[in-house]
Amino acid sequence: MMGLTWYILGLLTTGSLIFLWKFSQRYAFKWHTWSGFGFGIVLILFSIAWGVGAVLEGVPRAGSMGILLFGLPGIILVTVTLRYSTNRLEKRQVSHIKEKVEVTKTPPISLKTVQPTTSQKSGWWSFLPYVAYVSLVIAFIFGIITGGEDYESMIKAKYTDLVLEKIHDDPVVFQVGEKENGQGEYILIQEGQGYGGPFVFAIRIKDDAKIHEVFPLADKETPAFIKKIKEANYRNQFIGRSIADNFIVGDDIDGVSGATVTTMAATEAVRNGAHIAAVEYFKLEPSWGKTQWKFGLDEVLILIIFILAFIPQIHRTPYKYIYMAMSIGVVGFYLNAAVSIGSLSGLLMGYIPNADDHLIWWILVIGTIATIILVGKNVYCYKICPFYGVQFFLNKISGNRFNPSPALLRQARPVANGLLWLALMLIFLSQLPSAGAFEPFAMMFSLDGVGIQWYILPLAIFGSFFMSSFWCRFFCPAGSAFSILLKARKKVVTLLASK
Amino acid sequence: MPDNTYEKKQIKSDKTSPGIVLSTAIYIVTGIMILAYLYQSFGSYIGGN
Repeated sequence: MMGLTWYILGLLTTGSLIFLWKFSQRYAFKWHTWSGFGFGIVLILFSIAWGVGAVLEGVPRAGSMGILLFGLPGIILVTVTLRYSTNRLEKRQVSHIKEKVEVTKTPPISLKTVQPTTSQKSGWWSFLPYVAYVSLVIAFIFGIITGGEDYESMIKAKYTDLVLEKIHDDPVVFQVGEKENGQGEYILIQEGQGYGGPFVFAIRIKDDAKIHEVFPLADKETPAFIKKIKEANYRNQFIGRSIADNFIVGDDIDGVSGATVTTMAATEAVRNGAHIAAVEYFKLEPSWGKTQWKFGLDEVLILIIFILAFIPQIHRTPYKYIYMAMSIGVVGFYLNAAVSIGSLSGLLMGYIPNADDHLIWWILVIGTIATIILVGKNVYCYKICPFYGVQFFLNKISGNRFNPSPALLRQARPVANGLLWLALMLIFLSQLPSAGAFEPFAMMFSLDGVGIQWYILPLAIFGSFFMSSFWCRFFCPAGSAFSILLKARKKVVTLLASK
Repeated sequence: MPDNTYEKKQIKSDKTSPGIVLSTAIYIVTGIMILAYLYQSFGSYIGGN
């Protein structure tokens, strides 16, 4: 395989040299034009070799990072040099033709301008949305009936050498062996609510009223976040702690950067378990601090970004650049709180995190949905979404406004809706919001991901470079869900108005 | 007035043709990768991992 790669790289190198030779005959190259093309092409070829090599060695993450770090600057360099040299030529030689072309230039084809054909609107095709809705409801019910893990069996399987007696049902509490000196040893099962769903922990407390073991039984969070807290040895900080401690992130518990919400959900599970044991089984007075409404700098920044999304003047040049940079910085890289289909489907399944701990989630998810329902406006897409901002700036740099072939473009909306349906089916059947969340947001802003996600991210980035709002227009499942909600709202309003 | 329709078409087609091919390729490959990711997730769900 690597041999084939070198062969293809050889062909590409030869092709690039022929291109440079032909191009240099047509345009007057200067030293910076040669440098731009030369360095850009070398970077692109190097990134291809890096990417293929890394994938063959079984490290797709390194491959993806290499392609992004070397390939993207290479493409930017080649494109900017190409634009620079061709613009100069057009100005010098064919200015009269350019003027004519600009007059007749049509705006880029957008999904809004592409209407479904008559055949799509009629016949069996018109029933397809209803079939999709019904199948989603069936999958949702099936998932609830067949879902639900047997945590008690998991505990018993882990502690085969211990005598466990279940002494409470909700929450599930096991007593380990016999009580000595009035104090016993307990294992409690508790859960905390994250963005993707509950985070279930077993907490083992011995007769010294201290936590001796904490281990996860189930989680529905994004795998990248779970990976982060595993790597940070987050669980170890609970071992040896008194069950009367506060267990509050930012107070006596250290959060994990880039996985704050997951950390808070996991901490909530341990806190609940420890404090229940303290009151019920160790008869301690509740002396621990209570969780306060979390309203700090992070929440203020998100609130400002959300409110500014409603002000039309902000979304005009030059303020829109500042706004988008803010969104990329705060919603993207700093908080990694972009709305995904995982958060929306989690909401449908009743996984709603506490407002006191997760105000950011409430502002972005509930705020966006409430705005769609009450005002009929989607303020998230093309405004707050940090991934849109990334795409916007990339496309601005390239200046490209390409589109796929018109035949594909006509099917773009059904394809996006079809992917949304597939993702939701998978989420409902598995009861796992992260299972169908194929968006590359989380990994883009945390630089962490799993498996095939590492291939989706570079493709989305390259696509945005050549096509405006590539991901938003063609693939974003959260965007498709918001559009469907908006359409449903319009239908209801029209129906109510006609009565 | 000189008729430069041919020149216009030539320039437009020069600019858009490779773009359409490239964009279509990126679009299709991205779609396939998303399907592969969902298939992998579905496999994990069926396999119980």
